[in-house]
Amino acid sequence: MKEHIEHHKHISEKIHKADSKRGKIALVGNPNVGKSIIFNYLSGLYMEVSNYPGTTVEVVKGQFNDYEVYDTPGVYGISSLSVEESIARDIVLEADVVINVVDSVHLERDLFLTQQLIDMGKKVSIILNFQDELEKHGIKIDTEKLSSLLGVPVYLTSAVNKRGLEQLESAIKNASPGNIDPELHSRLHVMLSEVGSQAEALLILEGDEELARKHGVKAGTDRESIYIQRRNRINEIITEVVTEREIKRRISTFIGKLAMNLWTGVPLVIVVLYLVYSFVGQFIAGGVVDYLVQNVGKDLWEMWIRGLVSQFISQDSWLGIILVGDFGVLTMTITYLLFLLLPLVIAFYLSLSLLEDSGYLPRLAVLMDRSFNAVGLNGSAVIPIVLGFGCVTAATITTRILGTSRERTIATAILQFAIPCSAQTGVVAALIAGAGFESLLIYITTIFAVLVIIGTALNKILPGESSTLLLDLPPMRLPKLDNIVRKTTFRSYAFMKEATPWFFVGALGIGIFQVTGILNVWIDLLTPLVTGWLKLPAEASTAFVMGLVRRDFGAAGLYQLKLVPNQIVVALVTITLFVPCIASFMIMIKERGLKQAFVIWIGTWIIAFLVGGILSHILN
Amino acid sequence: MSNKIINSKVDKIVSLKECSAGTCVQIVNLSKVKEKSRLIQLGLLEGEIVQCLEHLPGGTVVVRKGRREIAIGAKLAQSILVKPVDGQCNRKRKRWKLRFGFMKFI
Repeated sequence: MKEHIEHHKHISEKIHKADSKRGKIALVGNPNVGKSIIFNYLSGLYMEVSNYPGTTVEVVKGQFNDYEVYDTPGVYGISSLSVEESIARDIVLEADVVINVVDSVHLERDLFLTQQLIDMGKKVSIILNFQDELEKHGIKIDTEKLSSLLGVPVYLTSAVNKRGLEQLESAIKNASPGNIDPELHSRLHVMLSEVGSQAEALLILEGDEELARKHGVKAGTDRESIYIQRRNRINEIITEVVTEREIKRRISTFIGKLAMNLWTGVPLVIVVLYLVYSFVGQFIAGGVVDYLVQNVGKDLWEMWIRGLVSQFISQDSWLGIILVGDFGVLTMTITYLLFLLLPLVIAFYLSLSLLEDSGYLPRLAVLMDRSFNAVGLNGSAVIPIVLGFGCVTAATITTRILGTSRERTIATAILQFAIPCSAQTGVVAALIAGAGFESLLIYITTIFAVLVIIGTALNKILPGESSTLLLDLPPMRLPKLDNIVRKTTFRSYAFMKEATPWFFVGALGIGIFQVTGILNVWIDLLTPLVTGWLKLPAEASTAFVMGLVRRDFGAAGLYQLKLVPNQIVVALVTITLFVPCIASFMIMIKERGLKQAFVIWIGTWIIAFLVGGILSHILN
Repeated sequence: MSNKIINSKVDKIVSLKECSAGTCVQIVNLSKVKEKSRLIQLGLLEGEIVQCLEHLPGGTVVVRKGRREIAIGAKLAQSILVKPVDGQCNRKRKRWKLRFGFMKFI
């Protein structure tokens, strides 16, 4: 039977290979132009999400009629200036048809990419999206004229309202090569004779080193002049086809402005953070999670599974301890995963998606830009840092968006040292709530001080220069419910998929340690440090050992201890600064190299116990 | 002599970092900019007129160009040379000033 299935698989793979001669469609566009909705329309429910070779940028592939459809990361142009751009470049180079999705409200920005795709000699069709917003903005576009000037078909759609999407089929069919500036065309011809592909010839002229090496020619030095010419051509087209009517500024623009002004922006951040804290920290972590862990997890699930298992295995046997003991694979792990972690993660990603889709997050980046400069980062680092409050592992991956290697190192170190992840934040919030406001203040101040010191020190030590902020701000929009739900579900699922095995491994490990007595050895080793230096009860050592596996796992271990407020602060500070979880350690090795990862890992041990101990001595 | 002073006042070339919120400026020189291609992709070329929308204390600047808002970090803004212009943006500037003028006193 197994052989049979494998045989089939083999055949289908062969068919797949033979079919790869099928047409390829690339969906290309600037960030936030509604590409994903159009992609979903084309490919239906079926899609393959895969990491692009050698990177962690996700590439989505689907099928439409006889075509393979590829979604590409949102980019402003095709080159190899960033990872996203290189990926978009590779997909476009392979594509037979390019569907260029354009935000019709921001035609001036988007057409630069369009013209570049046309200059590459690709068959292009333009989807002018956000048709519904044109009216609101008082913009009129002469689509026929636009089509004749560019030499490619243009279709108006409103993807969010599913309007005009039925034209996609003809868009694919009618895609055609467009008009190229005559002067550029003649320059292209010279290079074309050497490399054989117009698209690659253009990119080489624009200075793409990688492609130049591939063809053994010298990369061009004319990027700037070609870009300027292209930009000027687009500006001319815009004056021909777009008519604008002066219109009252919209309320969203006004809020966007408030978010970036120092006097209004800072209070706004505090309000936003307070709302997120009330929702995630108090309502979910304090209310929902408390109820679920105690009433559903411990009283219902654990009682039931213990009863069930003890019919077959004694609870005091080694297998019984591993399965249904205090740290049991079936007891604690299930309770923590389903009733502690899952609600927290959903709540966090829901908040994050709302902040992101409303356009607030990039404006926060602007507001925070100067403060981030102090630790050698720029405002864009707000994205991995905020993401870190969700999952440090995921955030470590997104440090790729930062401009230079030194910024990625600084951001990674800050994430691994000083940023607690969502599950941990939840537990921290719940424990701190019991310890009082003063404790919260001490906790935040200490962690923040460590963050600043580490960032500043690295900024001084590391050679080179950090990049400066340059950010095209997406408009402030009311988030769309279905998009929020989709994002939250997708991210929570990805997080749980990644976290679940580690929880089981951790519980199993701790269980085995417990049965074999190694746990006690570990705890005995850590106990003098924990009791003498940190002045915590000896049982807290268990939490730290658990924290080696996952940080939230460790913080959750503190949940069961009876601690006085000062002890809670010390314990939480130490566990927050303590070593990153195994998953994020692995990612760190992958992203930053073995040496750097180990330096950071060892560093967290030292800093965590050092700061925790000092704090404990000050408080007592 | 006096003529010169007036001229230098009209054509005063400063860095974008020094522009005050609400004013309109024309980009005159990008030769000190390191990542020029990025600016061009976003439509910020020599000769273009932008409105300086927000100027944060650290030197981070937000400019409006058409309907778009682009944030530029302090160091980059420092290397973009501009000169103040009157005209197109002028009306908008006055409107913004009227509306947000009070914030300057907070």
